[in-house]
Amino acid sequence: MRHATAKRALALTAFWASQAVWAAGAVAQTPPADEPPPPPPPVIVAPPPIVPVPSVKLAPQPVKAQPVKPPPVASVPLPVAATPVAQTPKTPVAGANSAASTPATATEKPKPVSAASAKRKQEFVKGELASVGSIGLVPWENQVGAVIGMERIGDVYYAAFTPSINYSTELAEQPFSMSFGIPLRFQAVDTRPADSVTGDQHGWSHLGRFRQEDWNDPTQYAQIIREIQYGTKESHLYVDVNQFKASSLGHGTILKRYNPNLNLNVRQVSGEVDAFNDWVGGELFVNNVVAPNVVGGLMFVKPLSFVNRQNYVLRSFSLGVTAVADLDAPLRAKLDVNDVDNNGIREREYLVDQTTFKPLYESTKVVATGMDAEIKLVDTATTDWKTYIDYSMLMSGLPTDGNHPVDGMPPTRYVSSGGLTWGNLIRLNFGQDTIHALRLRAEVRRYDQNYLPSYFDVMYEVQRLQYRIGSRTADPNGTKIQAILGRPIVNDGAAVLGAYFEASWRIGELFAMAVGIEVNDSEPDNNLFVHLEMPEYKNFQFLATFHRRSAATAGALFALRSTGREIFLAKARYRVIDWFHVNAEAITPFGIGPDSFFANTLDFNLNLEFGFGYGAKK
Amino acid sequence: MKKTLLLPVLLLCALQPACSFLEAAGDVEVPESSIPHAQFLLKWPNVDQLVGATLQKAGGAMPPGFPTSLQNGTLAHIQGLMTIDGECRRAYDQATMDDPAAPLKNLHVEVINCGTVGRCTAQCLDQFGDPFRGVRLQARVWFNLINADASAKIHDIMNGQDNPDMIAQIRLQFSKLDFVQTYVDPATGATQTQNVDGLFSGYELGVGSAYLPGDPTAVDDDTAIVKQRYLASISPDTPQRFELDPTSDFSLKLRTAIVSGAQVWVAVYQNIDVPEQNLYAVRMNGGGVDLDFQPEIVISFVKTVTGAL
Repeated sequence: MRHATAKRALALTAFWASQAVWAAGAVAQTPPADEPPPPPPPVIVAPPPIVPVPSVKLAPQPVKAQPVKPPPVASVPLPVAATPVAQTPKTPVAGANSAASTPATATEKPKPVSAASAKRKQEFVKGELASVGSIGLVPWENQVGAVIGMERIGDVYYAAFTPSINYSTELAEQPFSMSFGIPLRFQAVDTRPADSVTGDQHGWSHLGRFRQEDWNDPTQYAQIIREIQYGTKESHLYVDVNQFKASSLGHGTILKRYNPNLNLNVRQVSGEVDAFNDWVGGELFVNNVVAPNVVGGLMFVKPLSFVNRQNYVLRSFSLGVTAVADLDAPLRAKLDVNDVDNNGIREREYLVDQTTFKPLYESTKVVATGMDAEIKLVDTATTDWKTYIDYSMLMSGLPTDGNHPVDGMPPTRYVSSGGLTWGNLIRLNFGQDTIHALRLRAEVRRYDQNYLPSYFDVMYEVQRLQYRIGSRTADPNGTKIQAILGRPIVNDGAAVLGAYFEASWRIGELFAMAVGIEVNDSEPDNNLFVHLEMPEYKNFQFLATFHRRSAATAGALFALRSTGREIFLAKARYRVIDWFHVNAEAITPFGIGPDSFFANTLDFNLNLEFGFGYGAKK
Repeated sequence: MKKTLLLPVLLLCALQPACSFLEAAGDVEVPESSIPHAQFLLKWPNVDQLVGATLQKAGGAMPPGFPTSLQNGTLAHIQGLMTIDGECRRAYDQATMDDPAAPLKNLHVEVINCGTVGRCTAQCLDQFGDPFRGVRLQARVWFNLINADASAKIHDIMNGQDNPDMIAQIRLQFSKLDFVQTYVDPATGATQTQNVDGLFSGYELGVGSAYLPGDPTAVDDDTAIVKQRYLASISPDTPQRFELDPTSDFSLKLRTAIVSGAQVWVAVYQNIDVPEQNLYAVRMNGGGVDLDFQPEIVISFVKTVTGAL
């Protein structure tokens, strides 16, 4: 181990150019709801003038219309021409639009209001309120420019130049945003030891060489997509293609906040498509739009909508099935027994492709399936409460070669496990001038000892190969499949009892936070996260997330000592002048570093972003 | 590194990956010329030395018809003799080597008889815990890893620092690691050398601080470095590098000893298991382990800087 502390997996400048997380759909979020189409246009009195949309966009702000809610005051059909009224009732609005709810005065001449804008005023803030699990930011405005910084891939350092362009607009009354960047890397120094046979030195010998490996394969061209998003999560149609956000399917009992890019030596562009109406719906997810290995889908029907679509209880009742699979799940990691990197470390490090810096392994498939039922208990202008029950199963194969491991793919036997979840999701909106949105999720669980709720979770991308990250050893049999499904059954197979609680709170574009805790009574799979976010404060953006994963006990979640299974992301972006931003971040990236096993260390990065705005600010 | 540079270095360390650069650039391998190259043949003891000056039963006279010398005997003969005597192990000790230039001393060899089911079971389990049948050879010898000159050079390179964490890696690069035996070619009458790597299993070469295996007065800190699977890949044309596990207890002891500025001797052990079917093919006389390796030490200068503060 040459660099015991040098686990800087990537320097990450690229993220700055990309991260649309805060942005995505900011502007005119007028997503249709999961409710029936509104009856006659909602009416408001003297709508306030619509001010330009703020320049910062936040994480997706799924909203739902409240068509059945009575107007607060006497009605005037839209568009409203000029009916100055001093008392302007505020209605909940989403995201950036909250700032638009400025009271009109008697002397002001209200501007014409579009139907879409008026509709937004009826929106109820729901969906994810904070960008938990995301790994970056994007410029909040339409901008063309470039980011300059340094990056690290494996043992090689690069100067990175990333021309990028961002564009956001509204399409068919839905937010539509795009961000593209072309990461161009030029080698600085290769810190691998010299070749023992040829004696060839690495070091600075290829200074300035363009990294062609980034563009050898046509599938790699997808990396120019930072983000393409249409609609918002929980809107009737939602399309999201990106390379920094985390994704969930359904209630998240199988796939929750999975981020395909947490291994910072690997860039993947994931894709998600959601669509639904009052009768059926579905979600599809792939972790890589070009060459996916984690794929998932959810389908549901709302059978009682055929009985009565106006009754929200009947309309909301749904039955669903979910399936998620990793078609290339690591079963047993390969070790660097041939010392391909010539550093003398063989059985303590994984075998890593020296071009892509991806670890190699014997693979199999792991499949999770689930069934669920959901119904809404309360649906008012300020409160939305649904309850659900879910049963999920996990299936794969385990090696049977025991103490005599074979070279190559081991023989396997079929193993399955399952778990039951009862959950409640409560969403609340408060406030008039400033909307406070609160989202609470509580679940109780009962599951087999060799089962794991939300198997495809925030750290799946790294834990799939090395589940007990933090031990700083390369255990070939330490894959997630073996760690979970191969877990010894004790106490006559007594079921594990667990609970999950999550709360998030958002105040317009000013502030968002979220906390979550996941505990159980017997297995070392306790999790915690805390997230803070400041989408925009003057020229400043900020986001910070802390995850502690796979803690041995609930109490260990609060221990001061690191387990090595933490994720910390803090990102800040400051606009010095219109065309120049400084990005700073403190992160704990996971990656295959010189020691060739997954580990994280605290990295600080600083890079410069040059960009020029164009068009109307979004 | 002058202390005036320390602050800028540490400030740079605050900006990763600048610190990664520093650590990468700060890792320096001690020049090979500073650490003696090791090349020697570690001979097995003569069979008569192993079993006694004259072949005799431990408790009395040999049965009629038995030879009085096993000079050209194989491991099968040795096992047979030990079985007759009901012995699980025999040991041989040699304080000085035949080659005085070899940086070795205090050779200790043990032959373990794993020939009878139900006997010597504790000493005859393989790496997986399964019973092994055959003969197990274990050898330990003191090796002068860092002599006085090397120690002084290393100490100088480290600017006199004595922080063991500054030693980022200790490793051995082998150009040769062959088990050989000699035989007389019946056609020419000449003595030939034969590689017998393929006749045994369970090979392990490692280091530790205990002179005798199982020494109750010593801490068992044996740490494996080279295993059987790697033997075939080692050759002068394809030298192979092996690190000492930095997380092992012995690694910390060794690093501490190196930075102390003193000579460093380590116990090098080797184990092999010769299965029953190959016992007749392996002779000890004239045989041994042909070794050619270069010890390497990598020093982290970032740790040096940190330690200086």
